[in-house]
Amino acid sequence: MSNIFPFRSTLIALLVLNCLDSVTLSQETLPKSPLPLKAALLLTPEFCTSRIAHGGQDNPKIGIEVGKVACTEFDPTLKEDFAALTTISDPKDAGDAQLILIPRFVDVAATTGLTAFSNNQLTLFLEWTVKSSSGQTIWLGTVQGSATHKAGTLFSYKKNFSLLVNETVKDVAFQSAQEISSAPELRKYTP
Amino acid sequence: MKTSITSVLLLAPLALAVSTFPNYPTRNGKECSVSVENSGVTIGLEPVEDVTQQMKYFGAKLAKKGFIPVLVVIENRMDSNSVIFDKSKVTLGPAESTIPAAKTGSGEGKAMAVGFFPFFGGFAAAQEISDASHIQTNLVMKELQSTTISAGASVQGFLYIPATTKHGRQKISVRIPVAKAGTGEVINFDLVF
Repeated sequence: MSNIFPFRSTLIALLVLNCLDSVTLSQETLPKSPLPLKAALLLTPEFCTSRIAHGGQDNPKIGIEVGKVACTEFDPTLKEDFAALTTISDPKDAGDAQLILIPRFVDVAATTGLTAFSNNQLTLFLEWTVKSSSGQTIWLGTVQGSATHKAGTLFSYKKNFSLLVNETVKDVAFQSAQEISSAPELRKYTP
Repeated sequence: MKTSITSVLLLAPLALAVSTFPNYPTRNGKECSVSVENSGVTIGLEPVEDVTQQMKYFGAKLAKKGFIPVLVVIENRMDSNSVIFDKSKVTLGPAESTIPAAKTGSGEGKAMAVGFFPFFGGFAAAQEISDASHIQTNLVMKELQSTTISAGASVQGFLYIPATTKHGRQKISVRIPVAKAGTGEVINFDLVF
């Protein structure tokens, strides 16, 4: 019977500590004025279903599912950067957009904890290509977003990892908005 | 008593010794062991071949794994033009070969001449070098990413160049194209180290 107690108290403590989980992000909102440009955000079906694995960029079927979250987060976050932003799934639908924004996940780095109490950290690298309506590349940049989250127990690991991915992609969106709105090449761009 | 001790041991947060690696000292392009200047842009390469240095900054003997970490410094001293560095357009090959002309478009390097290959190594390098997540993360964080360099600005970071060093390594040619933003005009930089 005495052998049960350490297990039970450990389990209770794990559950209590798990409730204290928090995603750590360092996002500060900087005041910015929108770029006086019409832009089209290209979110292709391939991008919206994309996964990313370190060293597995040639195989979109393996890795962390990041495209799905990105396709819900990018439009509302980037909208504030431009006078007008429309989301398209095919470059042919760009219409009168003066800029086309093309995202692509390029790499991922993860640091994993060894216990349920330690933090997992995830960093995603996203490359943005910004093209003019004539197809010239105006700006190319790689943005990194990261978040940390408690690894979690056997019961909560999956949920915690999903939260970690969501928060990391949200940070990528936030960092993207910051980078794009402050890029001198886009600030001074006149179509 | 035994119960409480066991519980405390199990519940105490483990202070994991996560290694941190120092940043490699920054330098100008011209301070690198190899540098080329063209049209107001300077690119310098500084291979880090010393094992002690590799352990200090990367936590792994990269040469043993078949990679040389090379610090790449790109300085844009143009008056007004920004330049674009696209990592996927970097090509490598043995020094005695002729480097084929850079083409435009992503991944076009797959059609390169025999003996040359596009630099896609960065993606997989960290994984091949170490399974330890903190070492992989450090490698990825120190890697040079595709970027736009405004007039008067500079960037630096590492590329992990595949190389065999068993019987003394051959010289390696690297072609780094940079494009003037908004024009598509490409300036090629050929460097041998």
